[in-house]
Amino acid sequence: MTTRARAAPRTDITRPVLSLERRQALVGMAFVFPAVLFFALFFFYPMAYALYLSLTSWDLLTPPVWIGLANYAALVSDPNFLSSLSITLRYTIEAAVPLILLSLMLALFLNQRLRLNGAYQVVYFVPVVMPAVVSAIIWGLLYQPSGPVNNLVGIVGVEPLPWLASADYALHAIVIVSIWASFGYDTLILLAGLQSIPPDYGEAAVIDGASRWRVTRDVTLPLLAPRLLLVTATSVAALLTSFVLPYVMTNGGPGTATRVLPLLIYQTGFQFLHAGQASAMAFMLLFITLIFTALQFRLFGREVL
Amino acid sequence: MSVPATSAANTSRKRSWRGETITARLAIQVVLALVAVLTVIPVVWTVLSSLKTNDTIFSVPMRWLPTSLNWNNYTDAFAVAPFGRYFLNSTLIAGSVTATTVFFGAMAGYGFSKFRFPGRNLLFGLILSTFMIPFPVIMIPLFALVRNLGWVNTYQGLIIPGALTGFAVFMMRQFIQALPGELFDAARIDGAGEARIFLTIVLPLARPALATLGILTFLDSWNNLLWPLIVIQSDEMETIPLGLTKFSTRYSTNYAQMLAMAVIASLPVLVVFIIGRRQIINSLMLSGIKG
Repeated sequence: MTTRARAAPRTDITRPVLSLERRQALVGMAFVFPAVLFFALFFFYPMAYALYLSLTSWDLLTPPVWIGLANYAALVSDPNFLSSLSITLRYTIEAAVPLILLSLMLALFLNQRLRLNGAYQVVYFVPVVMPAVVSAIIWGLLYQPSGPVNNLVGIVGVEPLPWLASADYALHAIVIVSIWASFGYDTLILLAGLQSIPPDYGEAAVIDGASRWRVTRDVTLPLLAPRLLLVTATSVAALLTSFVLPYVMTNGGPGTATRVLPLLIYQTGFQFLHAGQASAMAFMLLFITLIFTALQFRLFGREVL
Repeated sequence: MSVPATSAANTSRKRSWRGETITARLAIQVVLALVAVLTVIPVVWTVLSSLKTNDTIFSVPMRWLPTSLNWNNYTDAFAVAPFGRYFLNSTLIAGSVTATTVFFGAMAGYGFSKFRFPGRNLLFGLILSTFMIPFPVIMIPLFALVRNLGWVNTYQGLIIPGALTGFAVFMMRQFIQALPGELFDAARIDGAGEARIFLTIVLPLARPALATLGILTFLDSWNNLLWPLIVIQSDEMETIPLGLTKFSTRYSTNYAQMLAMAVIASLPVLVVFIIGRRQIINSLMLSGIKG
């Protein structure tokens, strides 16, 4: 290629341009090369390897043994997997719905541009930047029987609750922490979406006699749909894969009440050394994540993209 | 339909839209403030309790304020576990990951946005697809890979697998794409080499995006637990989140020290956030995505 390019300019006037293009293409490739190499080595190779492992029995020590689809077949009737799957789905839905509604409400309120707006944005964002481990440890103590949470619910007349100590409450308790830890982020993204909507739209509707609620429902929310989709998709993906809160706060307990799927995958792979089985679970998690994403795109309509 | 009547109706309705009056605004303010209070209560309680004596943290009836300021909780915690070492490890790891992510992210972002080459869109699409893959899917083979490389329980094992993210490439591409290409062409005509153009023109122009990406990457890396949990096998290699997790199980009733260390572990990220808050908030609002 180089010889031809070098020989060409003397005979054909268009060739030098082509060679410049080629040169620029090579330069571009050189710039993306480290990234491409990185993702090939530390992402796509592990992905392919994970797929292979999910078809084997492997204890992380001796060579993997090919067993075909046996791991996947076993999952269908594995009570641990099914229970973790159901816990993950409950956790995700129970956290995502209030998270999105609360964030949407706060974003609509902040968009009124009242006093202290900037301060609220900063305060709401503090839990977002806190290390998840710190949030988990703090809340683990806040939920202690004679801790501040029971103290505060006592003010409104609720008897002390066994938050993390009871299989009935523990998952709800963790849901509250995950909402606390991430609503600031969702609020901010939705607020940005609201601010990019030209105010004339709402004002025009008001002039036509629409109530504030109708303007919000029929004008603002449809225009906000792309951002709402983005926020829902990232929140749901994060919730489906959340590991730190259940791991640190309860280590999946009491019993298996809060053993979400990522935690089960970690335990199966690294503690019980069933890496093949864990990989099959991980692909089910990927599958569920993709289904949820597809569902959300359906829900919000394809036109938003 | 007379003109004056319409415009009168306009103004009155417009006013009712603007400030559906004082009650509505007050209600909004109350909700916003209440959420703010509930948000900071855990943080305030943590700071206050980190100064209490251990046996007064869960005393009945509960006291919010410490009766005396026990700063020794902080020094005692450093004596019980090597938090100083954890701090150094976390700083080194998060610092290195931030540097590589920002540099290689900018390189790839420049390559993908300002050059045409075969397979460009396919490669970029593949890198974007990494957004969708939950980390638990690749963590086992990634551990196997790191083990084969002999990197278990080493800094490179902690740093290199996290040295770049799809988000970084995406964000830098979006930003550099918006920069005028004429600048680079002009430098090229002046005979500047491609590496020099990148280092002396692209990087300085991309500084706002680099700063934001750097802050977000540092926060993510500093806060990461799962990967260190898998790769680290000895005390002196532990990061702050991992060391704190182990401390909380090993000394599960040293509440005051635990909280003191929770404060210490949060300080760097809170400082980074407070310094860069406008930067973070503005660019998140523009891009709408966080890694």
